[in-house]
Amino acid sequence: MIQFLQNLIDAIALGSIYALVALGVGLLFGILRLINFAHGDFITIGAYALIVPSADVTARLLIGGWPWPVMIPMICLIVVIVALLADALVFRPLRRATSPTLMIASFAVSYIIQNGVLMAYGSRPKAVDLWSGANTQVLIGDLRVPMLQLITLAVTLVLMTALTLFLKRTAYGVQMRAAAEDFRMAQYLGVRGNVVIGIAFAISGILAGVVSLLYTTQSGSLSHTMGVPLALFAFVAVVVGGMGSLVGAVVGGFAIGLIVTMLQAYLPPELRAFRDAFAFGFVILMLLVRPAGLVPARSTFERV
Amino acid sequence: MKAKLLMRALLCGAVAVAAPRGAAAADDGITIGMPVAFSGWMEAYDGEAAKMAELWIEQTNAKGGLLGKPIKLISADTKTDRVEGAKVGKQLIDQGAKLLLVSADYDYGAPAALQAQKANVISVFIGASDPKAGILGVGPLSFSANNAAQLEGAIMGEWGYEKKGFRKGYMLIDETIEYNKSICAGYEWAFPKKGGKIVGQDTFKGLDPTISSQITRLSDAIRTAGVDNIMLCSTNPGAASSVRQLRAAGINLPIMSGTAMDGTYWLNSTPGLKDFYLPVQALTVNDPRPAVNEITAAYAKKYGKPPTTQYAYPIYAFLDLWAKAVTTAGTPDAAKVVALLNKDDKAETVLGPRTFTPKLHIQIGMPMFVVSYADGKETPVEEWQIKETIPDSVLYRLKK
Repeated sequence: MIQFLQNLIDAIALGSIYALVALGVGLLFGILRLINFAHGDFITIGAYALIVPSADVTARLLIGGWPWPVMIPMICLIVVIVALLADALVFRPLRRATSPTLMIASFAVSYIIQNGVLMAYGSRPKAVDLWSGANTQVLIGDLRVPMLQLITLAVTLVLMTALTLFLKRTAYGVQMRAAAEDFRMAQYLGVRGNVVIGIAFAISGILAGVVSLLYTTQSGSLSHTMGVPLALFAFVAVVVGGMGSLVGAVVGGFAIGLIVTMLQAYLPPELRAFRDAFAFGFVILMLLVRPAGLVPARSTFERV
Repeated sequence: MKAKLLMRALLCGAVAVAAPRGAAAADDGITIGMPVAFSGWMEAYDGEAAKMAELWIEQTNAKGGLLGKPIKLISADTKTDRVEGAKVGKQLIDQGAKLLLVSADYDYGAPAALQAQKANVISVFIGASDPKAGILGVGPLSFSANNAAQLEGAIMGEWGYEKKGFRKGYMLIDETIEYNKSICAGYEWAFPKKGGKIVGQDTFKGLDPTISSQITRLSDAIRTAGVDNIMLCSTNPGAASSVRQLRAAGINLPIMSGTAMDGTYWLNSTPGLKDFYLPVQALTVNDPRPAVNEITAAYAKKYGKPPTTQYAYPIYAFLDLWAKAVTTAGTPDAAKVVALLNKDDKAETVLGPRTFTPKLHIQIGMPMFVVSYADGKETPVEEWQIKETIPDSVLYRLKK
């Protein structure tokens, strides 16, 4: 029982990271029908922004060494700028393109960012020590609850609530939801499409920046492909949760975290190497039962 | 069709340009070709060994070259791309290379090495740890300058049992690349052979955001089965990340690992790391052998700083052996030189004894230095040589 509870805690912890990434991917999909595979690379940018840009093998903290009230907004700002640049240079000229074209374009952005990081920082993975104070754990009886996981969970819930409030209560939020529902109709009604999309990119940049800080605190290492598996799993989370639904993205993130952790915990040793294959198998099963995802978005059906 | 014609025209052009250079190269010295990654992610693994090869050539030429002729180096960038590797490998052979130094990984070096084999030219992987990097995977003219990954795991298993008194091991295997599985295969062979017991194992992927469920299983094994050492078979960035997470979870057991973790550049991720051990062929700082320190000093003088990891060194020892064989044979001709190299039985090099046989062109029994990490530094503990020969079933990881 203790073992199961511990696995559950691990699952929630992994799920909250996936949920946070999925929120960023899901937001852009909802509005732009863009499956942004470069979201993982936005996370990479945020992590690399912590250190002095150089190809030296030993990384030195730059922004990462600043006090957190300055550091967090600064990292988010850098990722937001990169996200807005990606929008302005790549996605804006493709506004009328189909979603497969947009997805291919996002692969291109991802590839460019990865190679840019390789050029600027060299190819050897970097090591940084960020907030190791958060890397402790709380013991509740026999249960081990890592502090960082609590922080991640709290951050996920706060950001999800904030985003929901923003979408429901503010003028831009309402415009964004209108654009997500029917982009052309919203434009006819006076919603400025590019501004709304720009805001969506900026928000996804903030989310990516936050993930990069949490992830780096956990792993202490940086590599040019570090964000790729996160974006992949987040995308799957978005599909599982229901494409176009923000609550769905978060639910999907937790679902994926739960599936992956439980498979890792309960698969026999010789099958554990194929954990991801089993996880994706589950995803297929889930989609066969609920094709529109766990929390279907209202706008999904008419578009399929 | 047009594109094909254009490609053919370009290829003919390339051959036409290459041919006269090849003819010239044959006259004015012995040419070594180096198709390795100068860009892309493999650069981290090829770059320093390539620089070391350049240093060796410079030093050899200063001593009068080989067979009275200067050695000429021609290199090309594979851009961490296998197709590009085959292409530039072929180009360098066409330019008259008598020895081809290829990328430090079996998968990435093999395309160029196969071109060398086809053209009857010797090839050497500058740092590959897969026993296939050589005769089995390329052909009888191919070598690896490095040791098999299995040797690293076997050394740690034996040394840990005898010197640290470890009895109950736990393997944590990063499934990202084959090298990791091979290290643990060596440990899994050597540790129980001594009398140790592997009480559990788990897998993860280097870029997994967290290894918390692996930590849960390990903590359970520590509590119930009394694990006293962890064999971590991984490479960076996954390795540094898992060490950080293990220590953060309060698991302070000794951790042993493979050579890929050599160097102190990753220690920022786990400040204050101690009780961490791995085997190396050479130390970049304060190697117990003065000759190795001389190489390091020459390297630092030429390039401004010493190598980051031990992977810079193995090619130096191989080139020494190759030069000796060429001198004895009186020619760089592949068949004659390889016949001599195949007779190298514990041949002395600056890095210690090296053995090649007509069946195996990678080191599986040489001694290595076990190093320990503490206070942000790597210090040699002692030299260790395994007592028995690693069997083929472990070297090629055949099904049990």
